[in-house]
Amino acid sequence: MITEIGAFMHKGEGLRLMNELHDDEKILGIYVEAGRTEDLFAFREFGSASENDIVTILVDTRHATKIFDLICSKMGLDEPQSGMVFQMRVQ
Amino acid sequence: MSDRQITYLTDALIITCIVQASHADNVVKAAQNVGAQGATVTYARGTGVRERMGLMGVAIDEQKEMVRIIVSQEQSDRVFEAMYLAGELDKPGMGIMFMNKLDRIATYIPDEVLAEEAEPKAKAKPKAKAAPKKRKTATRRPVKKASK
Repeated sequence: MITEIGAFMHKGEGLRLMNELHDDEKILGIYVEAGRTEDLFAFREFGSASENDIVTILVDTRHATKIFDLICSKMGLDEPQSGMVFQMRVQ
Repeated sequence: MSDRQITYLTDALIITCIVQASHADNVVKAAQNVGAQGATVTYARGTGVRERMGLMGVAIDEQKEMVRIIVSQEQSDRVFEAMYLAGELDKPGMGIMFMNKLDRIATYIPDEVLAEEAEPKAKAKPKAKAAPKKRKTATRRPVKKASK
């Protein structure tokens, strides 16, 4: 069973997270996209949206909780405006 | 021992909507009008229906925008319908959207919100015959501090 972990984070942090995790053998794949977001972060560069990174991580379900907690911890989710992490099973 | 904690949220879904370039803002606005908090938009390139439509396919933009919105179970259908209508997905070649159930979400949740969530449970008097309300909202667990 494979689990997908997604994370919305500040611009530039996606690549940093990928560099930190790409040697982890429990991770099957990491993908980083760039996008824009509304309401996720207080800081806005222009208009009503601000730039962000979307990271998608594929991991074996057995290790999902550990990786999920690791990402939460690296992103500092106990601070406001730091992003969002979610997890879903891949059937 | 670290005092950092993760709050897990459950009963949420992610709605993904792929529309032609420049249509995402309408879709996001419609979702926000019915209660969605925010959205994340990325750019993409699509193929498929454009080729199948032959000459008419030139009217469909190859550049796409992908809208992702995380919503609670209660509001998911309402937001999905609003996005569908705003994106005019009932017309050919306009796009596609789908919804996935999430196992859990983590984000910053203010202590006041968590306290509010816990308060009614503590104040509620136990009823003899009424079935207990099953409300999976938030679970907290401590985490170790990550070294940066």
